[in-house]
Amino acid sequence: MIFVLLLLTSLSTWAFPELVRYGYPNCTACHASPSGGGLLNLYGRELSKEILSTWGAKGEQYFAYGLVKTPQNVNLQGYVRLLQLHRNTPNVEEARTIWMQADLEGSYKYKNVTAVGMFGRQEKNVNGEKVVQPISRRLYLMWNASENITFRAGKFARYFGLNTPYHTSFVYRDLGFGQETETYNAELSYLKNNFTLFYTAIFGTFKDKTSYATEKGHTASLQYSFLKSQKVGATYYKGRDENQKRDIYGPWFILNYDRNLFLMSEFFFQNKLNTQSNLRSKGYVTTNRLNYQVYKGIIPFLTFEAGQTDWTSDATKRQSYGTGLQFFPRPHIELMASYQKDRYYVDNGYFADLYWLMLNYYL
Amino acid sequence: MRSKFGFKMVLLNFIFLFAFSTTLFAQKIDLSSGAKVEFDAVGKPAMINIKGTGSKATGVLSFKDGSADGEFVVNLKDFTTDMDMRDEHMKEKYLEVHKSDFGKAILKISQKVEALFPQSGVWNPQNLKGSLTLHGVTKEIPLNSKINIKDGSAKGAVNFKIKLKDFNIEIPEFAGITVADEVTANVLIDSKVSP
Repeated sequence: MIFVLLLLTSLSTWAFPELVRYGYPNCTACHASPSGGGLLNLYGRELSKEILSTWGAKGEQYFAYGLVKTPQNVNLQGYVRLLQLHRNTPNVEEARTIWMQADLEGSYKYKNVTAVGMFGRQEKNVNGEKVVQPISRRLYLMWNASENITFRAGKFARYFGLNTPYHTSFVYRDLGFGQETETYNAELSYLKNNFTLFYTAIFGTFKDKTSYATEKGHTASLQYSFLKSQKVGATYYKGRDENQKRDIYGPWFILNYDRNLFLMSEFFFQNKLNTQSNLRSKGYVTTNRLNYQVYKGIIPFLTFEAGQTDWTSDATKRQSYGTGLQFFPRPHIELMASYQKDRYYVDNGYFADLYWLMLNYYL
Repeated sequence: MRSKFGFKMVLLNFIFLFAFSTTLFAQKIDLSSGAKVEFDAVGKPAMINIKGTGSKATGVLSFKDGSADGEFVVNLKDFTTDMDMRDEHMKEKYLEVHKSDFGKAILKISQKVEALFPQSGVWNPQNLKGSLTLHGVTKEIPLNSKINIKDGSAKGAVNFKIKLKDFNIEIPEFAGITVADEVTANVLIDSKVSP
């Protein structure tokens, strides 16, 4: 059950930084949000048909397939996600179908200021009971102060690492970033030539019970794109709550041989102090995914992940090898199938098999 | 007397050979045998790299007596940027290819060059200029050229920068992305060289 919750809270919405291989180094090319994910702008809608999907008819990529027209300064998007998972360990075998998301997101732009709000449902496990409650995963005001500078304040995800939607990965799962870990923040993004800088002040959750996040702090990321299709970056994160203080830092990159063969990697060190016991733990987490697009929209991949968030404890040590297929048949639809073999080192060690199939649909 | 006659003969032979040798090195590149044209533009504020491909250059570039002469003709209707809607806007709204004479870009080169075109080796002339006709405007622009000639073929590129405003092209704007005023064009040559 705990595993399912982890998975539930670690799959995020559409964001594809790997599109840097087509010459799109920054998220704002496709998304309303400077850090990507969620609400697509008109350009992002076009790209979803032209470079992401295997098939697509004229006009199919627009909101509600172009059947509903919105004013120019209004943007709407709906989301539905379903997950089928199967997991085997020496002690547990489980199979579940999970309705992960059903949300509507909208934005209204007035001059250089944009208001963005997202509303939907959240399934949570509270004391063993399934609780369904309303949730707003994103609710913020954004001001484009200039062509290069954007300020944002409100509730949204903290910018961290590659900021991919593949939040089943060790990096996001083990370090506590992912969907429904949104916090209330103030963010500055600065974009100049090939450099992009994000600085986020994190004010916590203000007792927002829909968020799994607990920390306040800061995070800063600097990215550099080069040769028109490659991207490297680094992130520093400093967080604290009533039980711990921690620093996380490390590099990440997307490198590609051509538009079809590309590698996405993240590597982070964590230095954590338990403020109750005064015990310090240090460790690392890495996630790597090698992709090859065999045909437009059809991308098989291999994954390798490893982590040990406390060098002194085998209980925190894990490795994972996996393979999968990502398929974008038409605009609005993503299918992803994955198999992972996870190796745990606790209790003399054991292996676990994880299979999952995800349908991601947006309107 | 005999020696004077002999000297004149040598001199005449030398002049004849020199004159013949310059025409001997006259060569031309037939672009129709393999020259592509691409352009690179940047879309702001997201710093998008927009690459235009798909168009070919036609024409002949001749080298004779230290001069380079010729013209590239590029059909603008053939360009694609991998996005239908963007292509439609680019061609119809900004380049206005449907208007008479706007469908093609013509680059003319006609000037003496210090670097003679070699039979084999690299041709990399300094201060090369061309006259570009685009969107109904003709303007002289500096060109960078580096062409490698070997075994009867020429491989390399001629590239140049265009300021859209100089050619009365409105700055393209599409779905919140504004194209930077300066665009780089590359004529990629992989053509035959003939005398």
